[in-house]
Amino acid sequence: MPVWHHLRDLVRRFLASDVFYSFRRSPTVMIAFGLTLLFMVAAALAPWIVPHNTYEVASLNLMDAFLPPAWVEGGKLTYLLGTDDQGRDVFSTIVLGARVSLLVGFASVFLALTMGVALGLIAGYVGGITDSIIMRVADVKLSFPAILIVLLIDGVARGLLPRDLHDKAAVYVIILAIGLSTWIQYARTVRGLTLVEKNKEYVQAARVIGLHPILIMFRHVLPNVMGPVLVIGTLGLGIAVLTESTLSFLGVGVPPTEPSLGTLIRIGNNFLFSGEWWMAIFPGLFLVILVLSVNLLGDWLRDALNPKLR
Amino acid sequence: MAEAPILEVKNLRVEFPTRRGTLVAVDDISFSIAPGEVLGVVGESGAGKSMTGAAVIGLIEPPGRIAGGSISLAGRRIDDLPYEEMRKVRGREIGAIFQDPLTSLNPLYTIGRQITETILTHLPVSQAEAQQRPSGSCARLASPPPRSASTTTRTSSPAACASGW
Repeated sequence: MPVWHHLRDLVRRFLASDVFYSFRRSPTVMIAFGLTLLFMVAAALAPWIVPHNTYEVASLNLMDAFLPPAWVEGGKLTYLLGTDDQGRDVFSTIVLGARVSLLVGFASVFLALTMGVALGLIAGYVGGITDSIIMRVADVKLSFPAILIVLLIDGVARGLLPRDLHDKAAVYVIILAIGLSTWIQYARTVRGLTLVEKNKEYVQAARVIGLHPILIMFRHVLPNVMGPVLVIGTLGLGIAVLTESTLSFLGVGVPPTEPSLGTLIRIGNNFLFSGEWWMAIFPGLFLVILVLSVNLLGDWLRDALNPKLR
Repeated sequence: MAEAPILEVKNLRVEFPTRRGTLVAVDDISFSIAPGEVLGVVGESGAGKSMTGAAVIGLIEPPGRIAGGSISLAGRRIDDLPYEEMRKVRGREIGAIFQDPLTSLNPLYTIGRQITETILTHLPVSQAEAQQRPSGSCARLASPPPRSASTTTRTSSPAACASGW
């Protein structure tokens, strides 16, 4: 069968599925999905669609600093949401900042998910001492807040790397830090589900035909535990974006030359009480809408994938 | 004297260590099955029928263990084989069908794919060749299976797999 045939089959199955049906029935979810998609496309294409490239320091004009949004008196139409203290277009910095925030969010969720799912599968399927070691590490990790671990990893990286190198690697350090501090959720969930699945007869049957344990784990058990993992992943994306913003707000995240939404809010925060409200409010609003949309999607997915709640 | 037995179980003993001492699930059972012979085991729940079967195919979960006796398949001992060796025997020389065969199928995969899985695991054949084999063996059955079995899953078409695929 040619590839497109499989693909067509898959699409047809998806369109007929209960998940798609419940998606079409909920306007909230469709709006949330549309907004999330819009943010992602905008973030992906950011360097090409923003009206002003704010990474280009030479193009900034200090004469244009502190301009209010276009509809307020004194605003310029080319700076739709106003400018910040260095004359950067707020709208452009938000779109570029959302790109950084989403990049960190996706990459850290991917890291945490891969790590957590693999470790959870192994712990649940192999059991015994392997299980004990993995889950004790997870328990220890759960006994202090994620943000502390992120701060620790970031602090160590700062100490080890020279300053200019750290600024370049900051994004990757944050991704690593958030990923390493959030894999536990995936591992615990997958382990629990694996313990249930491995006693089902189709897994026993796979053992009877002499299939390799690794194949049983990844081919037979993994697809049957993926539903909840997808839900945690979606909700985790919102949390990861928020964690990154918190770190950047505290000043330990990405460098101010390539700001994320959190960095923008921190910069704006300095001017909030002197009347230049647009610098903090707009990035904050964007962050709220983004995380809210992603969380609504996650909530819906959790309900849609759980037949007991319908 | 009949021909050499294909499966020979001697003084098999299966134990489970528990808090209240050792539980003996299978106690000193011996039997042998010649080629072409069928053996039915009858007993009440918990008598050890399933445990005997599980021991033969090597599916006893720890902490349970084979505490004594021997199991030989075609003259070769299989109860003390290392895991990897036993894996090669399972599905190739020995198989098992559980009580409700339907639940032996992974609900997410097509039936056809799961039948070819055994063949692909043990024989050096391609996916296409493997797909030919089950329909060949199905031709020998009284009711040929629907061709659609290779594109349907257990939940979407229970009748397809009950019919012999």
